[in-house]
Amino acid sequence: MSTSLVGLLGALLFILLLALSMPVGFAMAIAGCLGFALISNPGAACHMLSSVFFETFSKYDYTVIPLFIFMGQVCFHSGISKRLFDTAYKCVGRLPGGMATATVAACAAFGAICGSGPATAATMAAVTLPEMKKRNYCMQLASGTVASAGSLGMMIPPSVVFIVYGFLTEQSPAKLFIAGIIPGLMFVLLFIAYITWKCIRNPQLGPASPPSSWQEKLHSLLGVIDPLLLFIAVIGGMFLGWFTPTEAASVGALGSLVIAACRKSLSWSMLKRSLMETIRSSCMILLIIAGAMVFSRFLALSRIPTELASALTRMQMPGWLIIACILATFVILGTVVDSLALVLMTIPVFLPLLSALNVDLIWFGVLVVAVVQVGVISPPVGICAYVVSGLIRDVSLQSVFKGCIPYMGMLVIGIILLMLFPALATWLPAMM
Amino acid sequence: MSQLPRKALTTLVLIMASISGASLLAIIAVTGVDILLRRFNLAVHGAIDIVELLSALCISFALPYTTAVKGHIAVEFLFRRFNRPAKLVSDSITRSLGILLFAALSYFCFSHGYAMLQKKAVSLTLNIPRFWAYWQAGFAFAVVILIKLYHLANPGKELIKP
Repeated sequence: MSTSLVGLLGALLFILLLALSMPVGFAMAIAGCLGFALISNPGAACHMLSSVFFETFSKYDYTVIPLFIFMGQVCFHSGISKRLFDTAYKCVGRLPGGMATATVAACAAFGAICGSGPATAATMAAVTLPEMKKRNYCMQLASGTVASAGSLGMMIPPSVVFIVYGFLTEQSPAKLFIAGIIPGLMFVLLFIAYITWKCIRNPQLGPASPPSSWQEKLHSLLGVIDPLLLFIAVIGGMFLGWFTPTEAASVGALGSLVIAACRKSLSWSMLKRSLMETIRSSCMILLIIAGAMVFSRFLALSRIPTELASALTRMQMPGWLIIACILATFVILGTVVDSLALVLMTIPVFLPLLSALNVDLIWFGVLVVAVVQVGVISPPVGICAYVVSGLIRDVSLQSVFKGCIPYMGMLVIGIILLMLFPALATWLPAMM
Repeated sequence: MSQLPRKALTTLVLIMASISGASLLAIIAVTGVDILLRRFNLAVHGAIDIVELLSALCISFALPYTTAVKGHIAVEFLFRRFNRPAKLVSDSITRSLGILLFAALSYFCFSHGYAMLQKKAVSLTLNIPRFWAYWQAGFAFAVVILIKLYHLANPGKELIKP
């Protein structure tokens, strides 16, 4: 049997195991190990399996994942979300659809201290949806806004997806974080532009709130100084080269504990909940990484990615078309596969092709995250939409998905802008 | 599975999760102190060694808890469309394969650890013996097998409610 045929059979086995609902990390490890055993020998495959798992669990660079997750969890449990929303509401609440605009701004700010889209959506939905309901907002617009703005947590640094992508492509997570800042802000502006346009055309959808005085606005800003300082310390420290990503994550974790202690929200039960959620999420992510590493070693041995790359290069298709096809694949798979799992499953396959095309992997990483954002708000398994729908019982899941559609359009516009103007993603990292 | 082994397994998983959480706090402390001391040219000697060993402890001891609360990501889009018998069969197949995977991982981690003990392999800076790190990972993988057996015997139930 040729190595390529074994490679294809391994990929089919992986898809079969996924369809049978086997956890993604396990499916990749099993298919990868069996394929590796067929191409080399069972002893080498088992040796590779246990080494890869242990190395993944004990790698210094990977500790950045639990540390950033812990920082987000502590912030999540210490009530920062409400203060962020209050500040944003006092600043922009008087605009048409002001409360929805404030939701987008607060989600972006919360995303800056929490690396997960669904966590951002869950946190902000609990704070913002009851308020918007009280102000007679159209709940389709409201729920779609929270779910979509929650996905901004994946683009705005620190982002777990960027960290994982960085490991797979051997790109600096610090550079990827910095690359996500301008596109993240661009998506914020696109979302706000849509809300304002929609609510100017039909003010019933999102009535403007009474204006706040400058004194109120300044006073509310005091409530967000601590998360702002935390963000500046973490991202600024990396940008200026003071910290490695692991050290920055550690500073962030320590800083979030100090903030929680100063705000008197640090308790034993809060710490326990944050730790349990952190170890669960981190273990889940690192297990998928370990599985993806096993699978990518098998794929490399089968030579499928390199053969795919050379076949596509021989076809002499324009580079932008190949990238557009890859992104389309991400969009389609992103509707049924979790964002992290998607990145871990597909990047090892596409990496040789991207290298053959001389694609800037920082820019491509930003594009991948933007595309994954579309996946987390689109049916049938858009996780952010599910999270929001689970929190507000009187809005159907269908309605949340309908509310997300215009934001998907905004994300697509943003993706096109990123493809046309790569400097949006590459300018800041080039300054590091 | 009767109540006593279930309770014993739950207690073991929770103890391991507590050790995992404590390791994470220790990582934060070691890295934080290292950054602080470096400002005074007094870095923690072997900080990377310590963090790597703590990380292995943190993640491998978190694995039984993550499995017990069914915290792993799976693609359930197609699975949800299966009827009940098909779901049971599919669940049994995937769990059995999972047991085989973790049995192999556990066996080879213990065997690597034993080889390291024989070779007296140590960490790069602090010369800490490395065999126990492999053994604790092997132990965690063995506990995962027990949890998977529980899930196999009790379809649809988590060992621990998240």
